[in-house]
Amino acid sequence: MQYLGPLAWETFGQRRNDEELRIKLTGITIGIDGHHATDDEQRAARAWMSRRLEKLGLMTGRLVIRYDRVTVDVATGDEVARVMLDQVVIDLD
Amino acid sequence: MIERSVMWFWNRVDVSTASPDRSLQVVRWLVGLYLLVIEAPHYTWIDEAPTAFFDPPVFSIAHLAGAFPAEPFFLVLDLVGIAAIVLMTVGVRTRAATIVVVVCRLIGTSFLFSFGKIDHTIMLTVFLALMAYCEWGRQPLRTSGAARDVACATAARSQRARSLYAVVLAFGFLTAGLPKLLKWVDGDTSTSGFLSWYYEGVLDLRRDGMLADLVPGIPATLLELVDVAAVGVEVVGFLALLLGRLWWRSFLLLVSMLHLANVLVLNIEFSAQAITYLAFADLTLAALSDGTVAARRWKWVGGVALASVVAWHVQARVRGDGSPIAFIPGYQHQIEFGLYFGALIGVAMVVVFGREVSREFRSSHASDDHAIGVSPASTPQG
Repeated sequence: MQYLGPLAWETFGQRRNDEELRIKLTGITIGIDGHHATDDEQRAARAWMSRRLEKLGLMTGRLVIRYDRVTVDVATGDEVARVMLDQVVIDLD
Repeated sequence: MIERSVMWFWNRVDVSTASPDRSLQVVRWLVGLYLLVIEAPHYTWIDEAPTAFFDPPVFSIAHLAGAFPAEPFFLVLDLVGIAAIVLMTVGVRTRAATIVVVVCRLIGTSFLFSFGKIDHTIMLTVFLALMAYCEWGRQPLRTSGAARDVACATAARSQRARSLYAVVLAFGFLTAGLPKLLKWVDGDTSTSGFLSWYYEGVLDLRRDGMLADLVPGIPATLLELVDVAAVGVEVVGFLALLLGRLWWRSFLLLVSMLHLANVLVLNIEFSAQAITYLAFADLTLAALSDGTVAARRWKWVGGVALASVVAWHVQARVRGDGSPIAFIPGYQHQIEFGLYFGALIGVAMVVVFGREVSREFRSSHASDDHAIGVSPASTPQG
């Protein structure tokens, strides 16, 4: 559960993760290669997620990551509105 | 000038953090027990994760490795880590065993943090490294001249370790408090740093257990005060360290209360860090002299309990299952039991440091009274 947020942010290993270090004083930018999942590794990850969803009794064809803005009434703690900001769909088949 | 200032700083830190070295042996048992029962090495589950999820921080051991190691790397890491904790706890090759625990934790957490999430467990690792340095305050058994020299050197190392850990701790809290100081302490009751954590936890991570239900409806002014109090506690570590023993122990009491409130309301537990504060408490009363009937009895009971815990961990990991918490498999149960254990440890820390503060307060008052009593001006004339 705790890992879901960061994993979803990186679309469960389905995109390249390169990082840049910028040294403010000199203005020099250093590019650092992140881990690049190969096509086979990405396919294996999709198959793994599909099996997990099946275990949970959920639809296995695709995984939808939604980013919502939730409005809460702080007096009661109740959710009063939810607006979808972004959606990423990963095809698992 | 700089040298004098540095010396003054470390002298102040030494005075504030000093506690009996013998107490560190009790801390070793308690931390060992904690590591075996609640925070045992558990990295074998990483074997199940797809390689595509591997995304370590750039400056980490895992980044150098380039991928998750093949089986049975994590199983071996777990078993070596558990064996080292047992040796550390019972005091066999204590320093070497503690170093192995540190190395296993550094390697394991480096891969654990390769999923994009970093936990706040580094303080316990730093603490263990410093305890390896001073060998948990271990004193030589003999009292010859050479042994006395060794004892002096060990005592100096123990104090250095405690002082350095106190500075690391105060710095850690300062780095946590400063960004909040800039955002949370704004005098604006229409915003709340505390609520931003609370609702993110409740909505995203289902952190709605224990006393979390009590939060909705708390008046905005009180929430702003909570923000100010939390930030205030986090930024005053260095000041407390320099002001003296009573202040440093009061700071530890306050952060223990903060941890307890965190686990009860936000369901975020910091027991792995809280347990290290025991290095600054006097636990010598809990130390049993070797050879007494009570000591022998407790050694037997402790030995059997330790053996059962270790047996459970080993069989669970070999089966490809397991958990950091002994006898509690399953993620959801781990979370629940982790919170209960976190609350228990939080209460224990509040009690320990409440006692420490009260003792320091009495002792500082007693020395004041004594100073007044011996003063010629206040001596009653007969």
